Amino acid sequence: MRQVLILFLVCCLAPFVIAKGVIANKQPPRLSEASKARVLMTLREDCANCHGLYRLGGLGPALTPERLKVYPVEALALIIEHGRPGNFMPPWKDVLSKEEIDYLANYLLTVEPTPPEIQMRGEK
Amino acid sequence: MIRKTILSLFLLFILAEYLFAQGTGDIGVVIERNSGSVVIVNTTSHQVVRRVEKLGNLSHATGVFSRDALYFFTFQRDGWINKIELLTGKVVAQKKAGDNAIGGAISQDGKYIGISNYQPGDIKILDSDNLEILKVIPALYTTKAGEQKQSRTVGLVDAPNHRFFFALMDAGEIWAVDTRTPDFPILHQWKEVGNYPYDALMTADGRYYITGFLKSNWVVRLDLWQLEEGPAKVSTIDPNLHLPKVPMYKVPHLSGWGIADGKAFTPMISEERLMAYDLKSWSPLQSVPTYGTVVFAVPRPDQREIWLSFAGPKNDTLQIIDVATQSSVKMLKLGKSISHIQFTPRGEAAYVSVRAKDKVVVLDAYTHQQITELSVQGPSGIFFTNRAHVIGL
Repeated sequence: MRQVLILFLVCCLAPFVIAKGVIANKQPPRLSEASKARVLMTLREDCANCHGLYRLGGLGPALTPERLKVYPVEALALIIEHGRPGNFMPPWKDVLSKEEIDYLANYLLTVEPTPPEIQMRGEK
Repeated sequence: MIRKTILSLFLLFILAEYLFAQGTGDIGVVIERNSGSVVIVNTTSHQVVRRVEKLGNLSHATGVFSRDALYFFTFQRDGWINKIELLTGKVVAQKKAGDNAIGGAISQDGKYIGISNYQPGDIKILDSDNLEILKVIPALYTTKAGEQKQSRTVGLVDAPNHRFFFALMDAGEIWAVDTRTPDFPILHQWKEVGNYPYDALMTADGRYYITGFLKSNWVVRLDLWQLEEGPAKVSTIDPNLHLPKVPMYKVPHLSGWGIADGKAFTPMISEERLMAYDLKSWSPLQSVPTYGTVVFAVPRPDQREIWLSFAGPKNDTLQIIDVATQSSVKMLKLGKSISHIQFTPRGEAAYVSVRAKDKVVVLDAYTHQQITELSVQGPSGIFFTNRAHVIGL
């Protein structure tokens, strides 16, 4: 039931936020350096458990800007905030503040992850 | 004169070999997740011996040892397998065997490496010598809509009589493959065992293969002595204890499921408890409430205690459960992102990776006091060479 409600909310918001999303992308929420560090720490230490350290997916889907570009930033923030009940995406509202969640949504949409290269060892 | 020189050089060589001879029984590998490297540690001196770099994406990386405990094979998120010689840190072979890998196993005879992939949904079997891919087994299943798809695979382990066992996450099946026959035939396909198996383990005696599910209220046990009976389901619901469902910030890992005192202490999905099952009769015993949702439940080798790590905001705490009384005896705050616990081969010390603090804490297994700590960058999985000789690891 909660899942339906969240889906409904996302759908209702979509027309309003698609246009705003572009603006929001350009103006990420202002956060203290400590808060930014906390967001990146959460991304690295917690989100990475399911979505991979370089956001290429695992148990959860990939979170690269390429895959996420169809989502308005507010929709992403809503999913992060409330989770996706039934799909094991937990709500993060008890871990991050609203501003931090907005910053994270923006970060996922705009910053490309760069996996480390592998040392090539002759013929494969 | 020349003969004397040759003789002295020869003697010097023999002496050097004697002086610098090393075993691998007291060393191990710690994954440095964030920097694509691993460190090799010595559990006698409790020191980092060497670092092996540029291995690629080690997010969620795991690995197995060769049967001579000289090599470590990494299973990496980017699908690469690196074969590392432990005494020199040299990468002696490497192969990309998937696009998104989750784990792997080495066959009972040590000849083959199996890798379990999310993407593409398959397992691949490689020659452990040169990592040549010998066989691809696509995890094919038919969806309810009648579509043929490949499922993500999980819980790949080696089993007695030259078998690989694994589960199909999207299909809800368990398969067994024969690794002795050259074509690696599929021997068993148990269907409809549960929704979304997420991991599985083989007990160290090689008798039971136990699978956990994300979306079914049961745990499944296969008794390898009586495979004809198929997977036996046992409920995860405790009629005597109703705990609220809580957010699960990380899925449990089963390779450390607490097998102790003839019981399986099993982490529950979205609940702050372990459930104890009688391993032999496969019947539920009782719940053991825990501090958070359990990620690893690792028995001390003497099985008197089970050490727990947790997910999300509670991942800074290590909890120790006394098996005899099934009660909490210690809570240790070691720092953010406790990600793995591994006991030394004879169980006198435990290595605990505290990832966000860039350190591995070494604890006395009995007094629970800190012995020392090792500086390791973003440590996650810890693997000691005694795993080379345990089936299922």
